[in-house]
Amino acid sequence: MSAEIEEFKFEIMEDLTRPYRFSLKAQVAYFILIVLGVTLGVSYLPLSLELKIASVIFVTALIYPFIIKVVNVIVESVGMALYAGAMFALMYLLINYLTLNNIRNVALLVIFLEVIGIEMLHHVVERFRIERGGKTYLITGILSVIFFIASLYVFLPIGILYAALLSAVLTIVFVYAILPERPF
Amino acid sequence: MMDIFFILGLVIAMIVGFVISWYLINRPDEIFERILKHLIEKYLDERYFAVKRLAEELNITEETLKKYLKKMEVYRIVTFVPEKNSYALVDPLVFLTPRDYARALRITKDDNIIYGAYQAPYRTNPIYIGVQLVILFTPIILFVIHIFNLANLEPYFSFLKPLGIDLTIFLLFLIAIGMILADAFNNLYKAYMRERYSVVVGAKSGISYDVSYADEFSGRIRRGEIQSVDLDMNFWQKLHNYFGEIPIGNIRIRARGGREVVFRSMPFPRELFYVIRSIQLGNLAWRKRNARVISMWKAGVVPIIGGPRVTRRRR
Repeated sequence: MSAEIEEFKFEIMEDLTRPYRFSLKAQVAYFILIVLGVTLGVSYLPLSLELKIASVIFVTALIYPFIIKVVNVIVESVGMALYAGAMFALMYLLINYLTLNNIRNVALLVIFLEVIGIEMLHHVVERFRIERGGKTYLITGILSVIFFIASLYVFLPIGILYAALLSAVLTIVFVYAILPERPF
Repeated sequence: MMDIFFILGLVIAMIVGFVISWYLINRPDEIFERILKHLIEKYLDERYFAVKRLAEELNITEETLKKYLKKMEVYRIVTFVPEKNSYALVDPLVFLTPRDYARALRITKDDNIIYGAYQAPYRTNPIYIGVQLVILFTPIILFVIHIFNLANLEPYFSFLKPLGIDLTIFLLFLIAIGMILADAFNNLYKAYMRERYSVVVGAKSGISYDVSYADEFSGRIRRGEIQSVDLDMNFWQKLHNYFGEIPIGNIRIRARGGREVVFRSMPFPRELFYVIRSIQLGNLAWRKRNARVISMWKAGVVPIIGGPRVTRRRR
């Protein structure tokens, strides 16, 4: 038994998840291949160049956290860069391509941007998805007030009571969805 | 003709995102690391510590220390034990909720809990994944159909016209609702599954586990009973581990008397395998050696480039 004990050694990596993932080279190679595939696919779609670029940036930001699993500041910062690029492209296109002729449409768009902004951030930068703190509660509070007011305005035609009820339910779902949760 | 402002704005946005992350979000926190290092070095075996004494040892104010201990509680590095009116250092591979950790301590008679987590077989469950995909993709498919004029959706959404709502914007709104519903479902399911089927490995008590809902660790394999332990990952678990957030795998234990127990989809199965092997062989030296690194990882500390020594605290 003592010889067995002597031999029994193992190494814990700085990042516990590393042994379960693809190697760094494989991750980068798969990521590049997928981005190239998406670029090729999008280039055949009947879209304007702006839309094509925006689509590639958006899809790249979406797949990045699935493929690149290395944890370091560079990886996280590239993720944030992709997030910022994707959100800019999305907002630019929405403002340029959609007709916002009344406040109800603006309210719907505010809800969409709020949800996609926060969900995308949680998706791209993992720790925003799992860490709760004072700032998180403050931001969630502000976002949910905006969400409630916007949805109340959208649903107002069905009557103030029903609109308030429906908006409250949706806001609760929104808060529950965006509050960070530990994955285990 | 493409708008030059679009390209320029896109590049600026990406640079700003990168710089914000690099300089503002990833600020190092030396006090946090100092407290953690001291706790691991001094209290890994002792575990319990009082705030006043620790503040004196570290030469920092009690208020500052309390602030950091609260943060460490969030990361489940320490836990407050009301019965002893003091904090306890949680072993790095313990992923239990404070309530379940207290329960594990009580049932194992205050043993050193080296590993604690919940079985998560739902993570590769097709229904769990399928429901989320359906909620998420139904509005996206409707949006794609509308944008590419694959079908006329206007008659189905005729109620929008009197309200002056644009169909494209409404479909975007539906995508947003789909996203929060899928996320809420995910959180709800995880919360429902949490605190069920926990598996705890104690240094002296061996393996304790729940065999049914609301169980109190009625399953027990003592240290001496463990004959062999095996790590097993099926195709779906491997796929999940490549792309998902938490690595999972099955741990198969054969105990004396021909008893076989399988813990399904355990988080960090490789580490659980090693923990079980260690208590089987009575060799826990690695624990002290690697405790700081694992705790740092648990607290979200990331290396600046990838090396194990220089680290920055993630905020």
